[in-house]
Amino acid sequence: MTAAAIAGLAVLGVAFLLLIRVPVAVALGLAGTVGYLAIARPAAVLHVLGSTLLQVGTEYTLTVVPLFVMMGAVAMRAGMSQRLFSASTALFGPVRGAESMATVVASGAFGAVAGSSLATTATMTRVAGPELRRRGYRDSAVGGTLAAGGTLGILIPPSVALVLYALITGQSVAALFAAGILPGLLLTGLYVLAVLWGIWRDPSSVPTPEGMIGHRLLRILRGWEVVLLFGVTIGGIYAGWFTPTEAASIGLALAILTGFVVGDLTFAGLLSAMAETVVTTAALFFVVLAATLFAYFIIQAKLPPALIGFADAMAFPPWAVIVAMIVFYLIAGCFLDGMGMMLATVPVFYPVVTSLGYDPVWFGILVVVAIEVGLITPPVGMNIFVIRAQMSDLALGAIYRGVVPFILAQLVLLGLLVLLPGLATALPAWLAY
Amino acid sequence: MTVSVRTLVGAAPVALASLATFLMAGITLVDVIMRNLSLGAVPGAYEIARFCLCVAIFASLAEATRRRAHITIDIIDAVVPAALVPWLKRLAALALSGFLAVLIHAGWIQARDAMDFGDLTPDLRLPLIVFWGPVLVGLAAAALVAMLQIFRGRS
Repeated sequence: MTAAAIAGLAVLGVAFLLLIRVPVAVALGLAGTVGYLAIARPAAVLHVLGSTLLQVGTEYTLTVVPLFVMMGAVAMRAGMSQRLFSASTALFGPVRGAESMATVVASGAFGAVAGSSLATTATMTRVAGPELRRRGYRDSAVGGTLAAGGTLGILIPPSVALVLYALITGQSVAALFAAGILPGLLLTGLYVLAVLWGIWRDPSSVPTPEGMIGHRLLRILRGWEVVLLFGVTIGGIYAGWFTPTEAASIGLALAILTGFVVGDLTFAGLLSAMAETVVTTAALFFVVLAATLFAYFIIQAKLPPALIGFADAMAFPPWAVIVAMIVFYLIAGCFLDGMGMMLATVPVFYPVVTSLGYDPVWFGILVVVAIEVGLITPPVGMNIFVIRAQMSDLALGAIYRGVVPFILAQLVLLGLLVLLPGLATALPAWLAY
Repeated sequence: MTVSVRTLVGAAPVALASLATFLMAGITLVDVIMRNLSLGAVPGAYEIARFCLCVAIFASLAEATRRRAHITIDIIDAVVPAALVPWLKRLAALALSGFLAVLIHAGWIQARDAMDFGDLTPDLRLPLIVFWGPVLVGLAAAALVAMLQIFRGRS
């Protein structure tokens, strides 16, 4: 049996282990170790395991992960989401569906500091969910808006998903952050259009506007903390003032400072944010460690050249390979957790995509957008479950109906990214990454 | 008494990991400020941050395992009889223990080599074994928790 065939079996082994509930890290780690044992000497396998362990566990560029995770955890406890929602609602003023659009924009803005879709969804559900219902929005509009708004957290930088992609593929975190900005803003705009489309189709799904809201400017200005955090961290990286790790440290310090001075952050809240951060970090790093091992095995077994040879033999054009991968993500995303799916598949897909001549940063954005679709597609849309966990009286069917226009918006963005790769690559190129 | 000891055993590594994360952020922040004020970089900031990251990850790995925080695809729960789910969890814990045991073995060999050869870090000249300490202890603690989960089954 060839090494590539063994690697193919290992991929199937990962799929089987995932399906029987084995954690993603363990599935990748065991399949990678056993597969590598089949093609190399045990001493070489142990050497790779040991050196990867210390390399991943002490890699300086990875320090950015716990720092951004903690910045988001602190921002959540400091009540920034409430002030953002209030500011966004004031921004849209007396427009029909203002609160719904405000939820999308506030989710995008909060996602920019939280870095995680589930954290953004959980927070915005607590903040905006009751208000949307109080104002008389139909359940489908409430569920759809909250679920979709939450997906923006993993695309708009800083994004933990993009950092993890960078870690597995060796790409620049700064380039990936830059690449996520335009698609993130575009998706926010598409979501607002989806809300407007929903209102146009069924005007009774949202309440009539309450008229001019007083002190709008003052309320808009209350969202300054998020603008400050985003401006200093992301702006600082691209102005060349500091590296992503340094930006994350400064962002965290600012989040704590503003949280204590003008926000609702308490000492107990800070301690709980720290505990949440370290547990999340440990789980994420364990997956990164296993994905690195698995990727090493896949490369050593020469699976990517074998896959490219297969595509050549079948006369598949490169774009068909990309489309097949997107279709795989869309279908698998209906059933699998997005982050786990990304970490399990990127080690296999990435070498194929780069060998075909595609931009690795562009592919990272494509993968993250495809995962975003999976976050809200039934039956296993993680964001939908997060909303249900906090608003148990919201019917699942209503949420499923509500997310349809937003799924269409995501598919439009995917199509645009395939047709116009510059949407993702232009900004990093302009910033000379 | 038993409960308080158990609570302490659970909370102490998380507190240590939190402290390491805080120190990592702090040292990086001070380094940036000092460099921008032309006061020079903090000596060994890079290595201290790497060490803190190592402690933060491995000190909290056992707690992440205890909380079953590892990313898992649990779609099978809705398909198989409910009585089977605890057994699948036990199987997952067994697989986790096995993988951790392999990692401990591989890490132990390299740690021993680092000790024998007296490898040092480039800036602070710290013995490399200092990094291996938290790695091996953290992996062993996580393996212990995973093994307990095999026998307990329920979360």
